[in-house]
Amino acid sequence: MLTSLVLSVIVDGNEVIATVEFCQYLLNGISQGCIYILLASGLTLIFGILNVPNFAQGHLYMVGAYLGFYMVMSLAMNYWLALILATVALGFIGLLLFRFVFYPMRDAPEVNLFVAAMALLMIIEGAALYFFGTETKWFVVPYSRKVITFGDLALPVQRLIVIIITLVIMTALQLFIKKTTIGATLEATAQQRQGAMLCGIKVIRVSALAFMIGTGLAGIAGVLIGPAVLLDPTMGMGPLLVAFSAVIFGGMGSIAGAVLGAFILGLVESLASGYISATYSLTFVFGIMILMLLFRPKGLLGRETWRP
Amino acid sequence: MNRISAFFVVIIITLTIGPQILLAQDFKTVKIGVVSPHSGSVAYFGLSVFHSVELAAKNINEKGTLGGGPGILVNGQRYKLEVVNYDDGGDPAKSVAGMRRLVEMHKVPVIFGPFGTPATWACQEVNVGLGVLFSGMSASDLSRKKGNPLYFQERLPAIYWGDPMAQACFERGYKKACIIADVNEAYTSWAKRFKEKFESLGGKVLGFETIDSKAMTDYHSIMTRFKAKGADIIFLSLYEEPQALAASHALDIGYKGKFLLNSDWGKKSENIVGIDRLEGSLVEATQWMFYQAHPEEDKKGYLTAYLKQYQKAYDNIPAQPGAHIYGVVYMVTRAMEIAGTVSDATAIRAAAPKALQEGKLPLIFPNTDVLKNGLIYGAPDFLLEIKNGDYTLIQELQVPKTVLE
Repeated sequence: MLTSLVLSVIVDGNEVIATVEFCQYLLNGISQGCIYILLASGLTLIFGILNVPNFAQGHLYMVGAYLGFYMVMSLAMNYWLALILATVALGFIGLLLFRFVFYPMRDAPEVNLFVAAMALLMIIEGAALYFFGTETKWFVVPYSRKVITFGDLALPVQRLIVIIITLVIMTALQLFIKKTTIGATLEATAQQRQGAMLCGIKVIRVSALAFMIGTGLAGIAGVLIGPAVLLDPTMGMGPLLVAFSAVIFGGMGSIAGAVLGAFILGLVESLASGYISATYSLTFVFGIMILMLLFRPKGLLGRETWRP
Repeated sequence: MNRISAFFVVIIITLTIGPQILLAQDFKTVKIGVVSPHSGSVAYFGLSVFHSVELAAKNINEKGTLGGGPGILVNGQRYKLEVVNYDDGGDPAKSVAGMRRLVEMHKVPVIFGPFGTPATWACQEVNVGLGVLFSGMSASDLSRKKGNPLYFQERLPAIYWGDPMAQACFERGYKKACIIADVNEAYTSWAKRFKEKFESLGGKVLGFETIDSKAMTDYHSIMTRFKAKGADIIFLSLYEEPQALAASHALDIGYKGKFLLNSDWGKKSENIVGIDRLEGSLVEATQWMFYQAHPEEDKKGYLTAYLKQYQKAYDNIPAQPGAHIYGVVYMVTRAMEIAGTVSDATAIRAAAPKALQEGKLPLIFPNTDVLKNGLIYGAPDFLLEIKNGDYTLIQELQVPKTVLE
């Protein structure tokens, strides 16, 4: 479809402009897709281990953005240090959420976890309104207004940072899961929780770790996108919906699927905004998700059991 | 304590507290309402409105409307103003709920707000039944045409600025425009009027996108399309912060043309984008923006004083509707004094033109009048051009009174 779209534009005669335009949409989509990748990977990790759809993921992303804002703008902290500290803080918040909300409910029916996750979303939004205020905020980092150009193509430095950091984080996460003992316990717990317990794996600790990593990823995404958008306490809802769609599109329980799903949906959103209308771009994103649910319910890379 | 000491203590206490008690007993309280968003994507505007009403009430409570305070004097009785507010989150249904609540619970005769055309229209359906006068923050031409007898509109309909804006663009050699407009009627009608005029002059509008700017967070792809179409000017018919975000994202993707910014543009949006990146862009501005850029034009210094006081009280820069509503509070409270009532909304409304015609109120936007349809008319708008990091006046804009009556 994309190819025919590009060709139809090229046939009109403005080849160079059309190609540049298309490449620019790709760049926009890739950088937006990276944010969805971080959010969707966190969702998948938490869902895989705990079977909890963490609806608060979008709002934790918002909290990450605000923490970044306060560290950079109020405490005059270095952006990179703020990125690390906000990520650690979000990981810690995730640990608290696990310990005081999801751990006590570990044997409760799934619907209880579902409702608890929804309640957390509302509580975090309320707390954000109270603590961060209701006005939109924005923060400036040294790269906020810098743009790299390649001919007619342009990429803001902040967006380039988003892409690079996402690549680094996702590679590190994959190596951590595949090459370390702790990562192996994560994988084992996700595949067969009872079996993991029989093997001596402390599944509670593993679950807490999964929650920490998942919410930490939301924190990174928030601080990364912060300088490129306006911050407000409801900013997490839109990305959360797309990230959930990406998880379903890519296949529930598969981190690789979540990454692929998020990447594709980021591109779809960007191309639809550009070639059709920004008003309907999310219609395409969710439409694709519905089609996937109808014709391939497991998603692109979905499996019966979770495998990172 | 002996009797003499006790006597002096009683005298001192009487002298100290007595006048205050007497003074306090002299005053009654009249409640005035504010319905505006304190949360959500337009909270910046809503809070500016609320805080500006608070500031005006504080100043009136201290000095009176014409400096003969404290408080307002109605039929020989002094009243202090008390502000009661309701956060509608920018949701028209909640605006109506807020209006009902303030009238039924607090018996307010007047409400400042709500913000935005949809909320204003919703409130216009119920305010007469509730017997409450209100000042809607709408720039839609249709708001004044509804014939609501208890309504003030503090902004001139934006649609009429479309023609001179198109003319100015064309005169500067911008022949290819793209437009992005918020779904709000005031913004879309403004953009459409601009488009019609621009095309009638021989210009081409290469892209026209209508969006919900309260929900939109990424303008990169729209701006990529506009850039690819070769626009030499993009009209951002949006709220203040979305204008800034859209302009930033256009610059992000390497757009080299100019922007046409609307009168919601202000210091906050300027800080987000950076004025140095907007060289050559045009701004349709109210006196608010113009006086900020050129304080020397603010002859009476009311805006400068208001800004200073606002920043000191709230540690923030107010948005433009705040400055507008600040003057409306003065107008309404002076109208109460003239009408001799603090509760009869119809009488207060009828006295409002006289309050302005006296010409004594410390209005940020002087020389104004209230038309029969509630439109507060008179203050000109301006067309400015950003040159060398400053706003240069191109043209003063005024709509003939006969068009608006």
